[in-house]
Amino acid sequence: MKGRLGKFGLLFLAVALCLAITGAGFAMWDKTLYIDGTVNTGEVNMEILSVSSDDPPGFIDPGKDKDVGCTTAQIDPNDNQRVIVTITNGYPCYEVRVHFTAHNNGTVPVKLQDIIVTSPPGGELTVTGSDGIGEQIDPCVDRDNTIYIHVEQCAVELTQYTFTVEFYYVQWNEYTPPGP
Amino acid sequence: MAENRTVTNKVWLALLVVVLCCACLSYGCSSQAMSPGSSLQQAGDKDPIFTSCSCNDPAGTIDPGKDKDVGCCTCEIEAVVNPTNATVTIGNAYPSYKCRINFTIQNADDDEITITIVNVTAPSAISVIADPDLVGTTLQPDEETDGFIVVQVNDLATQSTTYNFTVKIDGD
Repeated sequence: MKGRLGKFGLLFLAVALCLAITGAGFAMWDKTLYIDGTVNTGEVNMEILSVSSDDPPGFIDPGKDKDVGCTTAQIDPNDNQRVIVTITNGYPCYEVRVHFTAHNNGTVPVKLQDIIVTSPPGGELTVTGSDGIGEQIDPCVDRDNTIYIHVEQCAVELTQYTFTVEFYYVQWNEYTPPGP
Repeated sequence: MAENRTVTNKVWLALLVVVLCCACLSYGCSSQAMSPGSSLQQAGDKDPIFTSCSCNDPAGTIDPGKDKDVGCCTCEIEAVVNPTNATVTIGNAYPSYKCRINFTIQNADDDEITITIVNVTAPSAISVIADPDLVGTTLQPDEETDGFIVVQVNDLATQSTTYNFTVKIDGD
């Protein structure tokens, strides 16, 4: 056998056999289906469009009969999701409302989960924002909200209080209602 | 005698070269037809093919399991050019978004085919679960079977990002 085929003949047969096996294997691969998928995720993004206080300088204090204290509010120039509030010449029982308009410029509905306030550590101020918590804002929609600020008895005289308010929005279906 | 041996070897060598060339040529053609997304599938190929494909969250409908229309999903088959490929596109997805893609596979071959492996390749931000009943399904010529995949976006997904996944269904 070897004498008739020679070395190259045997080599030829070996290569042909390998190719046949490869062909059989390749034929199996040929029966393949593909599903190619692409997932593009959306975006949660909010911005504060405007903010104002109901007791700017020169106005009678809310609920009072005199112009004593005043409150200014502005959007943080470095972060349009934060508001900087400054209370000047405040006093115990001084209260003020800060109104803001939030805009959903993302692609996913959101809900206001929490309001994070960097208020003075001694508890001189109480800041609440109950009317906006849990409210849903759809993409491209604006929503007006209000936070309430109350100066407590422990407030220090001759002190200007400045604090920031951050609004923590979450994807609408990830919102967790506050506990009882 | 030695001259005869040399001539014989040259003939074998020439044959070997010709066979290798043919093999390379045919492999080159075949491998082009095999590539996902390829447009060189030859008319007359008789592989298993997708005959239909749909998603349970087309544009303009409430997201499955949610109360809003936020994300959407489409599924298309390259029916004319390459019916062995289906393309799924999910838009504006978010963590916990989930949709199901249903499809029908037809055995367009002349022999029976058994689905042996369903292989999913997906990044960790995406979960893709394939119909567990597909593997082991045997299709007679022209017979069809339905299958599905479920795609879910995990909490690891980041905003404004594109993720790709592949489902490879092998049969023999």
